[in-house]
Amino acid sequence: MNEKLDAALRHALTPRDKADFQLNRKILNSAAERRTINEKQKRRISPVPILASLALCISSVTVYAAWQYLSPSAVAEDAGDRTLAEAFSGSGTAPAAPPQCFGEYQVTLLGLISGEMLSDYPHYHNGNLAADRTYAVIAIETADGAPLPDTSQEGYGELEFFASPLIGGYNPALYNMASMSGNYTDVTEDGILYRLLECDNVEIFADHDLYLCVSQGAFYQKEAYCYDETTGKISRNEEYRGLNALFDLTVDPSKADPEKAAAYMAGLGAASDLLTEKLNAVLEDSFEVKAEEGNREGAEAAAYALQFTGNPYAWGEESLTEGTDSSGFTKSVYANFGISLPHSSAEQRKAGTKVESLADAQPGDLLFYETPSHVAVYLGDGLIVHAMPEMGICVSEADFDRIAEIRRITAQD
Amino acid sequence: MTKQELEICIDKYNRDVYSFCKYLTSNTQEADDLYQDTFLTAMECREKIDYNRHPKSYLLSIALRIWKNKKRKFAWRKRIAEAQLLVEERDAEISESPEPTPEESITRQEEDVAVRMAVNALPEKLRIPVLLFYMENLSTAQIAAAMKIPVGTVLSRLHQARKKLKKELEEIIHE
Repeated sequence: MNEKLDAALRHALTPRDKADFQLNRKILNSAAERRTINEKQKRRISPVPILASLALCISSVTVYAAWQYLSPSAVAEDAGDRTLAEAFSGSGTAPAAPPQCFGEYQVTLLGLISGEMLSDYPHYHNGNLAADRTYAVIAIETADGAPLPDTSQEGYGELEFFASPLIGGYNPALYNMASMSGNYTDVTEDGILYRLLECDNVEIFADHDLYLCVSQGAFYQKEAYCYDETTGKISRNEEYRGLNALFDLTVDPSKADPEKAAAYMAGLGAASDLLTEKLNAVLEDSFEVKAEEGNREGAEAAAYALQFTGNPYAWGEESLTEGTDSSGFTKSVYANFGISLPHSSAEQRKAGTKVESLADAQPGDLLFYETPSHVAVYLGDGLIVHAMPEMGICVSEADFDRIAEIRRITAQD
Repeated sequence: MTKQELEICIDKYNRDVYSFCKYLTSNTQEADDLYQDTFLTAMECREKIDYNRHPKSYLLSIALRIWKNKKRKFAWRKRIAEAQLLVEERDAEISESPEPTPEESITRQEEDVAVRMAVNALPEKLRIPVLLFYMENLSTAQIAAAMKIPVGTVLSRLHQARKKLKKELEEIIHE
């Protein structure tokens, strides 16, 4: 009977149901949209206008009973992070900040914790374990008590909040979640949105003022806050109409590590400066694609590719003029020479013949990067032309990111 | 997860994830939503998906987590009403697929319907391990990880579920 039952269960429950094409298409489209949003968030680097420094002011000071909200530990549990749930329940340091109500929303800071290996999901940065992180849990609800959409409901995607730790003395437009390897998980319960956010450990800055900002939109809202460059103080912009909560984080000053902090900031600054420089390579007027012996086609392809610089990037597309992603770009360039490549860069990576190193690369070779699915056309002289999110088709230095593979495409393939 | 990994995952685990969603929700619309949310959530995970670490059980545990969050809002009664409809719908589809011989196929089909209804009638805490075990072929350790319960609990729930199903299906599954 047991074996029969097992067999009957396996037969009856064989996965037969399939999501149809349209549903899968819908997922890929929404994924593309979200991706652009994320990329924008990362790249937001712009100066902040200096407005008058305003004192932090809390418009509604109400004491809320803690039972009204999930505990930070329960939020971590709901987000599927056991270790973090335990860390929160063990630490027992609930910040005593009252809820802040601005615009249409009320925000409560529920928990804050920093340290090493506190999560089931350690963060990796450029392939290295970055275990030293800060975690915070906030609750966001509407001021009028109307429930916020569930994370699984459609309205959720339209609702964007940006919550991030900020460090006094560092321009918040530059130094926030987006630059400090931050990410977050949202959980909704009873119409309240709980956000579990994490970023690199900010405790090393304990000798600075530390804040947590919560505003609407996907990015840091520079209009919502004021940054005083002389004093380094960050404050709410009182004239801002929307949500611009700002919590003071109380961190044990003995946790400050000025040396580590300086090194961290230098790393952030240097990395982003160098990357920007490498990505925006300047092409000399005299630059010409040189045809190497025996590879005229490659040189022709590189020269052809170069004429499209300045045209836009579009995920999943392959138009050289209207918008293309990186693999669509290489595909369309080679299509002009009667060579057909697949759109997927993983497939393209199998095309042609392998070139051992960048030193052996010739114009027209395809450079595949460690950043998954990014591919570029080599121009020679250490330069590439590629379709880059946010930048469009542009010329960059070949070593702006680590090269994973180089392939030479010839007509015989 | 990158766009390509997402495509690969959808391609590879479409059936597994969608069937699970459908049995979990007993409702086509809900299943579509859950299926979509599962992949979008997986995609938002910043790390690369580790193909050695069973993306299927990873995806299924995301689906479970989302469903757990969501189902509290959902009227239980409405789902039971629709469950029957779903079983009928699915059987209509299956009858189109070729089966060995007409006579055999009818009994097999009847058996399948009875088994599915019995599984659907299980309380969720028993139904989920049954689906993960028999439908998705996950190991008890993987089920424990996905449901965030100890392995011993998984074993005992599977045992309880089998006992209930055995009793329920005694008449149908012949020795």
